[in-house]
Amino acid sequence: MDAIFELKNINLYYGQTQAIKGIDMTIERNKVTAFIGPSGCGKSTFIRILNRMNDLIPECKIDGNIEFEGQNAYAKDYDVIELRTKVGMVFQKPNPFPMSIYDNIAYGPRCQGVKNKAQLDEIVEQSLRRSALWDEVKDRMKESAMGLSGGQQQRLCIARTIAMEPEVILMDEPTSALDPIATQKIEDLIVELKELYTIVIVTHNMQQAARISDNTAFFMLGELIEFGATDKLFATPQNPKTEEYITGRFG
Amino acid sequence: MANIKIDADLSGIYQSLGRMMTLVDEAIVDMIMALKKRDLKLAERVMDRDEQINAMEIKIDHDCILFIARNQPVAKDLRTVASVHKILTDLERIGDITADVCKAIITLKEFAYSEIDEEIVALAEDVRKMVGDSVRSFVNEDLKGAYDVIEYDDTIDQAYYRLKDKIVLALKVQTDTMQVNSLVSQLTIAKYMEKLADHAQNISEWIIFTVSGEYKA
Repeated sequence: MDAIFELKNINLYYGQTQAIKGIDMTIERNKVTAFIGPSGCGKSTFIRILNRMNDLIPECKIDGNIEFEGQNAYAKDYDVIELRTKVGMVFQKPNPFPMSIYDNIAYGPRCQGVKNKAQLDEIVEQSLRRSALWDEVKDRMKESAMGLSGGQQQRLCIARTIAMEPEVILMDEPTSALDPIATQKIEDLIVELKELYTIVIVTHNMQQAARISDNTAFFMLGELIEFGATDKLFATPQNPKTEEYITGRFG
Repeated sequence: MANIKIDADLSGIYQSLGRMMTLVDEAIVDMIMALKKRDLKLAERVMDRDEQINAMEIKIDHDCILFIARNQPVAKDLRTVASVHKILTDLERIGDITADVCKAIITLKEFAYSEIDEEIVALAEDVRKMVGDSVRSFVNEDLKGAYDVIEYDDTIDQAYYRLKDKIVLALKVQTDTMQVNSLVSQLTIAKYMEKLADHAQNISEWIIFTVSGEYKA
């Protein structure tokens, strides 16, 4: 197995409250890993550990061993900006910048010093092609991104992440605000993108996890209850708590 | 906690499966009686009952598909409905076999109940128990019951081969065409009994899959 993340004995606290309890996990490169579990189970907290988004919360403390591509991602001298470039993120609600479609994609590369117009054009086109949005927006690149539909906005956000040439794309409920057709487009896209990137997705939609992911992690009350191949987890879960949750007998 | 909708739908499917099982069991019982008594009217009733069993198969098949469409089941719910779907085919085939046996009984009507018939009936009684036990084990999720049925299939196979040898021996010395026909019918019926036991074994293997998620090789 080609591991991109190795997490060992991860504990995370918000003040006095322990939100993640002693979790070990290996995330495979070029696979889709889905996190499922009831609200408040720690899955969103856990995905944010992967690109150190929790650093932004003052009372949040974390311990354990987090290796990204063999390096301690929480080491004092580890470049967080570099980590967040390599580990991009897409959120539940599409959040395009209030600027043109082109500028949304070019924003990141520009911040990193890419000034050459031809080079930017190439990055924008390639990112929009990879996010399956190019054909829909190629003639309206100067229009505001806010005018796109919700599904298009979400694919734009994925394109914006891709423009940074990440290794990993984290997605926190990326389709929960979208209609079924837009959801299907994102799901198809995820399956295509795993050829190039490692994808970790938090989803409340269990059928979605079953459809698109290779591995699934089931969280409950800050613990990792079961983690393994998606096909196995949904057909023959090993833990009765997983069985109860995925068959709707949880409560 | 229960999943009220899924549990209610599954319970409906189980009830229908129970009714289908009752029809199949009645078919086996009547088939045995028709064989014993050379009762052709009863044999015809078994053939008619096959239509009801087929209709029941279609109904439950439809219910299973509807259940999947409605609930998108996973884990044990999915294994259960997938197994019911397989078991249905076995029960339907059992119904077909009872009808086929009853057709064969017609050729035996001129001949008195013999020692070979007696052994066929003993085999049929055992097979009836196996079929009943397999479906009961499924409904009760009784793994031990399932393994017992699977194990018993070997006993049935041995009994069939003994019976076959006996019929072959009888055929060797038989010159009367009618008698030969009757012996061939008896051999066919004995083979059908062995097939019935195989279906009971199949059903039991689906119980193991439902409960444990493992395929019995």
